[in-house]
Amino acid sequence: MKNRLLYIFFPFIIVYLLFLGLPLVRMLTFNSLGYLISDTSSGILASIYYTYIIALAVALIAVLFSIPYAFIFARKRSLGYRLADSIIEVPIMIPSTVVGVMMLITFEPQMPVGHFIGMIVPEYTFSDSLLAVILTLLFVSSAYSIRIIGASYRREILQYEEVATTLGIDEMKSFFLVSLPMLTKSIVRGVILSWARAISAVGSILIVAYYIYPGFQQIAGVFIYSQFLGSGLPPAAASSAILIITGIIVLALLRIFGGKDAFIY
Amino acid sequence: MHNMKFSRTTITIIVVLVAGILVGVSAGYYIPRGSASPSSSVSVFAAGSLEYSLGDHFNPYFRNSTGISVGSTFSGSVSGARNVQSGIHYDVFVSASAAVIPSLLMPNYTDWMVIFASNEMAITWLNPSYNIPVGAFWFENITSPGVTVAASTSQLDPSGFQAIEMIKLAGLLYTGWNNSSYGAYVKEAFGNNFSAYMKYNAAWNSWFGKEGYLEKHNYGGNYSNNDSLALYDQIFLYMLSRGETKLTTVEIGLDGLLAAGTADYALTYKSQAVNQGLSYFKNSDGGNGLSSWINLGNISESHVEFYQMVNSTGPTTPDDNIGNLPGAPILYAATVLNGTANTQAAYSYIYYLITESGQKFLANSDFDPLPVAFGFNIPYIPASLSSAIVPIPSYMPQSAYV
Repeated sequence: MKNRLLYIFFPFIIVYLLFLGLPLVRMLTFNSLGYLISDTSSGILASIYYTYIIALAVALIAVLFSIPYAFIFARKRSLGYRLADSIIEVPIMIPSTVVGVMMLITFEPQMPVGHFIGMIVPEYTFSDSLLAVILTLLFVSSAYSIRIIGASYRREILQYEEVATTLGIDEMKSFFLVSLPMLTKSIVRGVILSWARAISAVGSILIVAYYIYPGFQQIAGVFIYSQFLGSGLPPAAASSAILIITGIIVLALLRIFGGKDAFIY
Repeated sequence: MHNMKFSRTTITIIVVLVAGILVGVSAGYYIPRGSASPSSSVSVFAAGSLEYSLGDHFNPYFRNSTGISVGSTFSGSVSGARNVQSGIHYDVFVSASAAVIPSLLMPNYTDWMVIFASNEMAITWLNPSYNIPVGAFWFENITSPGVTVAASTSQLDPSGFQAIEMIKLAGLLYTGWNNSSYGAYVKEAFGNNFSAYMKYNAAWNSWFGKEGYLEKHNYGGNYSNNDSLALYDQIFLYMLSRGETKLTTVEIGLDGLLAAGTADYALTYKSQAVNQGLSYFKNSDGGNGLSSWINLGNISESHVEFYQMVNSTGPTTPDDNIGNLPGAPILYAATVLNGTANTQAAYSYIYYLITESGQKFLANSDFDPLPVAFGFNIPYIPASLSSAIVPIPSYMPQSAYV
């Protein structure tokens, strides 16, 4: 039975992998290697570097929120908490441009929340700022680390922490000495996935920060979009290929960290 | 033999999977055909600035008049052309800059176009506290300390480099009475009224010049007397470097930036202002307060020659350049792209657009329709349109449409 199912399912996997792989191969081979190399002087490398650093900062902030979130929501399962918990996925389903608009009408200094922040922080600005990019990317990408770390904590770790507590180790110690070390792999996975999601955000960033003042840097997705509209498909495809190559490296790292359970979140 | 027998469960799985594939393929095949048939529809890409006049008014009228349904996409003209280059097909392509069609779509996607309307640059705002009263020296309002100004990015949207040209033209108009190249146009613009010119010139120098208002307020300024680039430098160099000039994509919508308070003023088309409910700087007659000599909306020979005295070159950080093009009037153009299945429907759409009915809708939306459309590459223009066009006037610079 098992072998038969393997034979039945195998063609589907082939079709699916082809479906995923063909556009990637097409993008990577759209330009010659020489053209790809010449495109590295277009500014895409600096943009990717800048994007990766920002995305890493965002992913680390997401993890910072994920750990207390996991701790609380593993223990509290009443209706109110479950409702609050359901908000986590909402940013994933909101169209990217809508997220950009939401950020603007919330955090712009002339809007109520932004005005309040402006009263506390002198010379507060939002659009075209690094803060705008970080908050927007955090909004769209934090759900991934929250869910990975939360699920891991609840399913795999909470029981050990409870055992530690019954052995007389206080709650604080058991969390930091037992749970956190066991969460390391999930935290790394969460960082990588939130990081990857932050890199892929474009529509929302086009709205809140077409460029980032004062250096006028563009995050990679916006840079490629500008390249596509300003210079056409070949340079945009070349920059996209460079971005994809780095993305593949990240996913390879994820696979290495995840081992045989890499696909289970 | 026993191994070859499939259990009921296995058969069920196979049936479900195969049925799923069949349903998916069938849906994919039939759903597009469920929409309007090719014989009665036309797909149109049009510049975002036309969304109100075409999408809300002209397209329904055209459908009711001809029975031909219209599928519309509105976005930046340059981005639309890039989509075409990437394989997306539209039957009709309508651009806010005539030059986009020859430079990006000819000869691979079309061989001709008709130029059918012009538009004007305007100073727009949404928050009433930024109101610019009739007769004000508008360049003071948009460069006052603390004010933010938004324009489109030149590389993505024609209104971006047209804003740059408009700002540079203002410098010529208010400082160039005695200039040997364009002084005659300045005199014509002021009706040879020197004192009228001097009012603006004095305001210009006392605002931007040495020990002028801006310098006294430690906000840039300190430009030479009669520096025609003072306004450009203040907005596109000084304010841009401080984050007080915002360059953004047309897809975002400058009106959205005004609504969110991200920008106080936007440099955009008058039609945009009218259609999106923005206020704009007006003259005492209720028309555009920006002189026709600087708003890029006049196609008379002298105006067009004056427009050519500036170029589209913009700031380099961030890069806002599309090349060093001479200034030119804002011209809207349309064509039918190669590969269109129902060319007659597409030709019909353009015919309606460039003749009486379409021009009426455009005028209602504060565009400036041309009395008769101009044809580019006339030998290629379909016979059904040739009766509605004339050749492009020889005084019109090629940079306005190539």
